[in-house]
Amino acid sequence: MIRVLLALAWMVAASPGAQTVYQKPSEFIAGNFGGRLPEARAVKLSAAHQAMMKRFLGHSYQPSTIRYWAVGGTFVVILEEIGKTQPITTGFVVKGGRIEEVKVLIYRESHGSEVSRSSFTRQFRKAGLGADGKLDRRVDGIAGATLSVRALTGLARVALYLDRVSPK
Amino acid sequence: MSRVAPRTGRYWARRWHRWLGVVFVLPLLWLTVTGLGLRYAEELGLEEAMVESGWVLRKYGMFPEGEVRVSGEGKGEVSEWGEVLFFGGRMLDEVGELRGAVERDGGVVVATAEYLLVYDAGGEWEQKLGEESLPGVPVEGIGRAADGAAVVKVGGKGWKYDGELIAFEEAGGESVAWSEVRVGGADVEQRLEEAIAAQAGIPWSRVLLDLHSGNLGGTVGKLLVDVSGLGIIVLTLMGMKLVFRKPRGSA
Repeated sequence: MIRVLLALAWMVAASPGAQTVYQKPSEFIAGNFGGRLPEARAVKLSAAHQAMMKRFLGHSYQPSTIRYWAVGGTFVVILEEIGKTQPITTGFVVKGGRIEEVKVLIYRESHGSEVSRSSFTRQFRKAGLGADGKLDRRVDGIAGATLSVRALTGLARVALYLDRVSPK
Repeated sequence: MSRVAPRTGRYWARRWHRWLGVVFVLPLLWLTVTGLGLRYAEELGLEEAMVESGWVLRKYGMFPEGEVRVSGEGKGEVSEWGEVLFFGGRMLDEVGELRGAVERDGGVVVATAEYLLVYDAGGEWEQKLGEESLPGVPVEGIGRAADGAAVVKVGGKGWKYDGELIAFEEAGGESVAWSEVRVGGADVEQRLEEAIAAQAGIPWSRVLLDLHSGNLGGTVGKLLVDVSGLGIIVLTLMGMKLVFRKPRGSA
């Protein structure tokens, strides 16, 4: 089944599709550091980290090294997860172990772009990672965008986890 | 002298029924066999058996169009076919226009117009450098400096990365061996087709379903299935009428 989904995903990916760039990742990062792009850092996901990724996303995270930007307690990371067939590029800002901002930067799916609306992403504000590995705030779904909502919720958990384990 | 029997409605009904039966015997067989195959797809292992036939995969549009482009040599060879990228004999998750590839720690750094993709010696996807980690986009090329460091060309200038691919600085007058992108031959295309076939993941049950519905034959296939369905309905109704017709002479 996974191979079928991958094949379908590839078929769609191979064909030129529309993508909406809401904000360039570099602008999102710089916007959280006073307009300056700080030097990136990278965390290589160990087997233990990947086990957590599987808990959050249902699969390991690829690529295995994730770049992040951290200055003065602000942690910014750009993550990607496939909604239905295409990766959704999302920026996360974490401060003090809680989500400060979530922004969909590039949306490539044909359906479900409602997740990019601020009325949806606002729900993640101040959410933290509970002891059970779930968000400690309820995020309401959007009819017709279930997979994209699931992808963003999973990524929010990943971002909070990375904030905990990444060297500052 | 024999008398010619009058050609009644019953005669024509029988005649039409016979010829329609002959015409629709193959489509009926087609629908029955594929239908039974679908009914028992799991038991027949058709959910698990994957299609490797180039012809069938081509019908599904699994092979990209356009020329195959290649960069790098030997184990570090990277190919692109219709923006689908290949490394180490397999299709990569990312797509993009290939701008070059250089070896790094036994793995490879692939440059596309929008990204740098880093794979380790085992073919594991290690890093993705987007515009936030590049000197700019589009990337025009990639090469290696004399000390082995990766250098990307953006805006006509070379930018040299550190060993971790985190920081970069202008390469200046440093000598750089730029990676070339060349057009791949039929042998490369054949290898890529095999890689796609190995990863395509289309089960035979899907092919059977598309044969049953006529989807695999495009508009003609769908039309044939529609006509066959209608023909079988007509045949059934005519057959019923012939069987249950009142005998001649009855009131």
